[in-house]
Amino acid sequence: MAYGLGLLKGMWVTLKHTFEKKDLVVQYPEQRPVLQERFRGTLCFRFENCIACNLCVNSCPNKVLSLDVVKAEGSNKRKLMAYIIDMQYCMYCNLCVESCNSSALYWNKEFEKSTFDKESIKITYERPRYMDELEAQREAEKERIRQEKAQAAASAKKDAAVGIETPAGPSIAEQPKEILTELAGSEENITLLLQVLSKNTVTHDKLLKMIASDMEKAKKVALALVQKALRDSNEGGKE
Amino acid sequence: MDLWFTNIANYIVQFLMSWGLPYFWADLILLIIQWACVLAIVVLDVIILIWLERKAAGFIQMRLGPNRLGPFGIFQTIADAIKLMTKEDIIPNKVDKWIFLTAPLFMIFISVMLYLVLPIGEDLAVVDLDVGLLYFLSLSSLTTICVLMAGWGSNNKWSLMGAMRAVAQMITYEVPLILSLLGIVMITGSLRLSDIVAAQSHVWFIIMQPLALICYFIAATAELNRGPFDMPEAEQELTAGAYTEYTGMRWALFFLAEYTNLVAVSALFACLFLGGWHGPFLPQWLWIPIKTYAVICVFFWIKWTSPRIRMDHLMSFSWKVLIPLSLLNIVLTGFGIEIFAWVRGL
Repeated sequence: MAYGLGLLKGMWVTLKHTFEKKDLVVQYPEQRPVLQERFRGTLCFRFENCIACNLCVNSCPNKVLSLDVVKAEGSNKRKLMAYIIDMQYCMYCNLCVESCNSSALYWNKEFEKSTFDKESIKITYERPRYMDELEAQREAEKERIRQEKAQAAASAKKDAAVGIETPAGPSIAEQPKEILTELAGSEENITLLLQVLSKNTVTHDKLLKMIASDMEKAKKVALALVQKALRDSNEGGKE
Repeated sequence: MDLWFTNIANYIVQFLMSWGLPYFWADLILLIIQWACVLAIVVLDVIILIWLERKAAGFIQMRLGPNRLGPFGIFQTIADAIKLMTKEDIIPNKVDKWIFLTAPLFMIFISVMLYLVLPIGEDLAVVDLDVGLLYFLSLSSLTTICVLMAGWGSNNKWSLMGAMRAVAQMITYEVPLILSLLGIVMITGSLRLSDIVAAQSHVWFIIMQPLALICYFIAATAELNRGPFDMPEAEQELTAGAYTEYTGMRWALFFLAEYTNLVAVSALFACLFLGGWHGPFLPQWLWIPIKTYAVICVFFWIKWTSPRIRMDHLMSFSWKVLIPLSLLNIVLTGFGIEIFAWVRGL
């Protein structure tokens, strides 16, 4: 005979809740909600960063974004005049922010965006006055860097012409007979080594440098090359 | 203090008669004033109750409930009422027009008529009928017809299903409701409500008739379409049951009638089981509202605690549990009366 006990138990639970402190719900206008770090409130735009590449406009599924671009006379350079975000269509998918190469787009935590008419929810970023000056400065900076690079390249060429870098000289095959015997030993081995090196110029150059700097190491490398060539020719014979 | 209202009524009648009006007309004017008072009480009660229910529901669910308009949000209901009154009154094309339009009027009219026999204090009922209990029960079951009118007239599947459920539920629960009250009638030997309250001057019937109390409470919950028994307007299944097609003030009238019924049934509960106007310290006419509101709070408490019962369980619960229990109560009461008489005769 336990009919109604469940109901009584439930009523006891609700009675306890009735007199508990009610602080589960944030009382919004007075208490502010705690917003997470990556909360997407309003889409914001940094005019200085934008390169008018149009990637964000292409990535937007809802046609929220639009650019107002003019091209300067005689050149193909795009000049951004205004950036328009129509927030009423935004679905906060973050695709535009991800697509932006110059981090011109970001979110802030402003979520109270209701307005009285549709037009005023549009956010328009007009071209700031300092932008012309800023772009001119950047252009000058770019020019300077370009010139520096060109100078560096020219001096490098000069150095190359003088010939500090290249150790060029006679090839291994043209080396004196003593050095070759020291490297490979017997006559057979010398021909084998020269065969291998003629196929592989990179190894040839390395070995040549080694002969100049470290004879012992060059010997070991030459021996390894000869043995490998022997092994390869043996295996080829078996087949 | 107990006689304030009786004295005011007597003074009004005497004042009118001193102008040369015959007693009949003076009494009629008094009756009209009493009607106006009843209406005022009903509206005030509903305004308070809607706020109270939302607040209670909030507290039970660990929320705060309405808390914006006025202290503790007490003006919320007034704002809602203004909104409902200024809303457009939509009459759909295909409705049965006269039935659709008159259903809410009948409903609120019948609900207000319930208050006429309730004794607020000694000699403080508008009309103290000698079949008051019968009058109350028969009128309260009449509201079912209004729900059926609303459901049938709306020409809508949800409305009709809600109305059908309401009728089935009311027919089922009317039986245990009346049977459970028979025990009290047997003890007091009268259907007059003031007699029943007067009989509880020493012992309240909550102690003498505990079984009847439980049966009546459950059956009354079902009669009011409240709490776990709100099948007729189960919003998850039937949108709003019989009231689906109603808007604005007409819908508000149904709402008003429902809360009016709630107060009336709770007041009857207070009169029948909780000793009516009897109570220490406070004047008589204050005890009835206090007890009524206590009962209403229990109704709220149960409604916001328990989940809705299934329709077939609802039916079988009444026929298989409540009706046998209330019949058993009648038998036990009969034995009790006989034994009491025999003991007293010794």
